[in-house]
Amino acid sequence: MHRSKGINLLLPSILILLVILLGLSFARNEGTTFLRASHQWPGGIGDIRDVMIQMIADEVNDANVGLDLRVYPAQSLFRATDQWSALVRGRVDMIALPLDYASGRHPEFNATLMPGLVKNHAHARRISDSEFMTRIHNVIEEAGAVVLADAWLAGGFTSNAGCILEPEDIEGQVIRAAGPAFERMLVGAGASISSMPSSEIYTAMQTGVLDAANTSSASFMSYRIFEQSTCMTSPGDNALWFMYEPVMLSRFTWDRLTEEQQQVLRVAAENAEEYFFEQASLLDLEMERIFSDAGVEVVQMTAEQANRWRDIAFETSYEIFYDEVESGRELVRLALEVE
Amino acid sequence: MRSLIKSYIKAVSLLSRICGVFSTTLILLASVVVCQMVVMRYGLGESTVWQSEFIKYAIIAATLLGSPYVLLLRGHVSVDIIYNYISPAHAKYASIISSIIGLLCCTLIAWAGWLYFYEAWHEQWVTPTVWGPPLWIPLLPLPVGLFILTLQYLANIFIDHVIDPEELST
Repeated sequence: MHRSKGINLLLPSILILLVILLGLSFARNEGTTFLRASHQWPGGIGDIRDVMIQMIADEVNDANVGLDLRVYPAQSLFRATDQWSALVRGRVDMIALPLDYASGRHPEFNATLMPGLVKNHAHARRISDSEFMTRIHNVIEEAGAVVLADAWLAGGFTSNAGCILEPEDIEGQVIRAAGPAFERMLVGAGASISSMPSSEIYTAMQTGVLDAANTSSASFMSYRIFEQSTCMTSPGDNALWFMYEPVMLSRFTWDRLTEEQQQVLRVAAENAEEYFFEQASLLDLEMERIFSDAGVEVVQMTAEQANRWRDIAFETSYEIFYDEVESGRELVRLALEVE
Repeated sequence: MRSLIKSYIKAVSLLSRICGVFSTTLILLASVVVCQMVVMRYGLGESTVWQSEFIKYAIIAATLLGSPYVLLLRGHVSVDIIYNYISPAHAKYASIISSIIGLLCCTLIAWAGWLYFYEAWHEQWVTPTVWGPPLWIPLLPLPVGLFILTLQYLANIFIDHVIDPEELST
């Protein structure tokens, strides 16, 4: 008796629920394309890459062209290292990614974190407009993605086992550096390596897995690495660490959009890119301020010290890159040509 | 038919035991590499590059390849809250249903793992690290381990509901 009563109530309620869901999905889908954007950094606290994507989302959503772009920060959709394959398979529409995370699939990407290849923020901007960048964009496009906005971030060394200025300083320390090209130089200087995405640096330094880390000024701040460091080598005028972190759209998504929607996205991304390049050099100063306020010693490499690192890089990172990538020598030549 | 099922159970049990041995070897190997890393880094002051990555893959592989052996021994974590409230006759059906759900899940993961492995192998992907071993090597234990786990699930259903365990030992 009791049982049949339950069923009597169950069936109508399921039916009502289905009708409501159906109604909702019609209301949502009418003429609107929903896009999901993923990135690995904390959202809403002013991380420059989060701000960039949010700017694009706001402009696109306000344009009334039937697009609804939502941002999912802090790896809430995909783990940092899984974002690339999700993008090229069309599982996510848009990502901002340190491109070298995908270098296992496209070794050419190692050129986008080659130590000493980019000299400063102005140089980074000129590189973004060069033949070198066109070649990298071609590799991305062949893989199944479209670059919307370029971004090059400077970064430095941080450590809780002594300041890193000379190559000798790193001997015996365990470090990560976002990509194999940069890490090969560190090995050349005598460091030990434990590779991981930047989202794991904090815990790794806290638990002693890492003594030191290389990452971008923006990530140093967003991930609050100053809480685990004693000395920071900031990028300054002789930065070795420049990493390419573009905003990309899946090819599947791009082909689904109308020309008008594509145009709106392009314009929004250009504005975000413009904003980024204005802010890029300020990030390094902001990071220095936050680290020294937190009681971390902040130092900078001299030109001679940076050159000693570069010499190691030419024998390690660059040589291995030339061996691994057929067009490697030419890619590096194209980048070095940019003045 | 019964003898066919019996030889299936025996064959799969053997396969699961081999997996168990392999899994143990990987754990041992990982321990040796940890020691080697400590000696290299702190004893000799040399730099270590491939060790952490190797250990990570070895332990994941040990877990995946060890799972069929654990299921063979029925050492897996099981929730018996429903079994305690239903009669033994119903419990029998419940155990068939849960085994079939387990079997389907494992088949699905094994298939997805195979696709991932095949892509990495075909495209010659490597891991994005200084060591950079071919990516298919750390991906292989997923389809292999889960496939054997699927076979073991089927064997367990036979053992529980078709063949008497005593009949098996003879």
